[in-house]
Amino acid sequence: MKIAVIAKAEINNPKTYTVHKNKVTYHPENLFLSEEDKSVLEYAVQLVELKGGTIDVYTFEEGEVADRVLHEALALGADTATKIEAGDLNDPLQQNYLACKYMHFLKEQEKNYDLLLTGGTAISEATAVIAQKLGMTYYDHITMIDTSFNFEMKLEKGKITGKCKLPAVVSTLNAINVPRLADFVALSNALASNITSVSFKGQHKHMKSVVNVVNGKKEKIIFNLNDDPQATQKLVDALKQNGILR
Amino acid sequence: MTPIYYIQFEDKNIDEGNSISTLAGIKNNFSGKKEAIVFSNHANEVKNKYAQSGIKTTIYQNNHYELIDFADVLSKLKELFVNKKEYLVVLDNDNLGDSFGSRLAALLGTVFVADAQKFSEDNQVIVDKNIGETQAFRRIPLEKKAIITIACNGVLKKENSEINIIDWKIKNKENSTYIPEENSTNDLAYAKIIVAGGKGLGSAESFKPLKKLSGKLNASVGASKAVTDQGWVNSKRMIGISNLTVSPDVYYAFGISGAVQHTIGMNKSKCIVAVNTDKSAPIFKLADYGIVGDANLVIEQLNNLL
Repeated sequence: MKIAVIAKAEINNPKTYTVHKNKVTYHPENLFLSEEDKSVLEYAVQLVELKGGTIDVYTFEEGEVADRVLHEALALGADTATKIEAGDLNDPLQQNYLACKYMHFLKEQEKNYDLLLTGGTAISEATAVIAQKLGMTYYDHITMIDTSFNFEMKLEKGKITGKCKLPAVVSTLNAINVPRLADFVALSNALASNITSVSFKGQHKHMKSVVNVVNGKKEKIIFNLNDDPQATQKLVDALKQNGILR
Repeated sequence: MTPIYYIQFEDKNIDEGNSISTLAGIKNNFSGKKEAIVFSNHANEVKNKYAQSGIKTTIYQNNHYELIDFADVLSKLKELFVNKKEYLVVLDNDNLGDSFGSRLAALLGTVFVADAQKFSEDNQVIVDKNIGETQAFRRIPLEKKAIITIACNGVLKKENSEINIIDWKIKNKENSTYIPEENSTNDLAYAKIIVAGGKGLGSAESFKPLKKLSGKLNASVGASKAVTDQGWVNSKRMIGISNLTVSPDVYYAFGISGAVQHTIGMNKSKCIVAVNTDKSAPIFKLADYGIVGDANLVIEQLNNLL
């Protein structure tokens, strides 16, 4: 089986961005391979152990984060690691463009993957675009997938179950298993392994989103009906003003 | 103003993807021209709901439609939007909405923003999206064509609207199955707005005005364990460690002190509004809004005001 994994850092970590007054600081030193991606890598390793094949890992992360994420992936069982320097895949305004470029890259390289995996749904548009352009079936919000490709997709009040049609792009909702830990030999070998860098030609010409600061700490709004007979009216006004009640 | 299209799913066997509360929220939050697009297998039964929404609605009807028929719905939506010069497609902020939104965006080659938090729409629609659990967010200026999922609630005032029912052909039946969760028939477990009562309401009779308020807010009624133990409310409606854990957009707590056995079941609510006579009650530590006062009186006043 030919398997590709798009690996990402744990962007949801509250330590990724810190805020002081109105300044946002980005902390790449706090970013490691996300738990969801470790989990899909473990699934890929299980498939390769069972059916044979290779695992190629790609990341759109930048600089030291990309190196760290890819080294972790290599230590966990990936065969090759590729860093793609093209833009921010977490930016919804860039996802479509980056996915198209990535899809062309895979076609040029004649990769023909059976399975493209990614953990978490933060880059859902990108994975949907890749699946659509490569003619692969797309499965998202997956909470269970086994080595026979039976899957469960989580909805609000239930789940959709079925069997994946390969080739497929699978995006998991959360960790689908408990990944094995990398041993010291694997970590040491991974650090010595080669990471390929690829940059896409041309620049993204469209708008980019801006990372900003959530305005201040929310203040409680508590009225006292004993002191103020208009308290209920004031509560309704406050809820309407802040969009809680329309 | 960018026209807004809200997508809904009405499968009589699967209760997902149709939130009247979100429909009301969209009506009240967005100023542009609005239209609801509904995929249904029982249009005649649901048409009245949309006919009173005040939003023009087109229902695509096929008796054999099922919620899991993603490919046919996407194909129809592509056909509807591919030649439009400007649109903002809005879906519910849940897994189904995310899934459809990303797939449709891929088909149409447009921007998709999942879990948009705030928006403004003067000359251009701008949405904010929180970055995980950090104190930062992305401000995203949208182009003329975009798809978002958003959580917005509202109270629908009855207003007549135009309804079109169009027969629609299904070609690709999906080879998958929907399995409901154990709690899927309990509206409280998945409610976006909850009004919950505690022992502070004093009697089973006090829950009648609370139920009236729930109707005005499109909310589900919940209760603390003290209330269900007394038999004032069915035990299935108990919120807390012994029964349901809920995470609605808005949680109204009336006469609930906020014992940890209860709050563990509701502390993930996005916004908590508490009413209690005791200003030192633990519920006020969680609350975003509140009133120190008699819960029964506040419920009566809210029923008059809304």
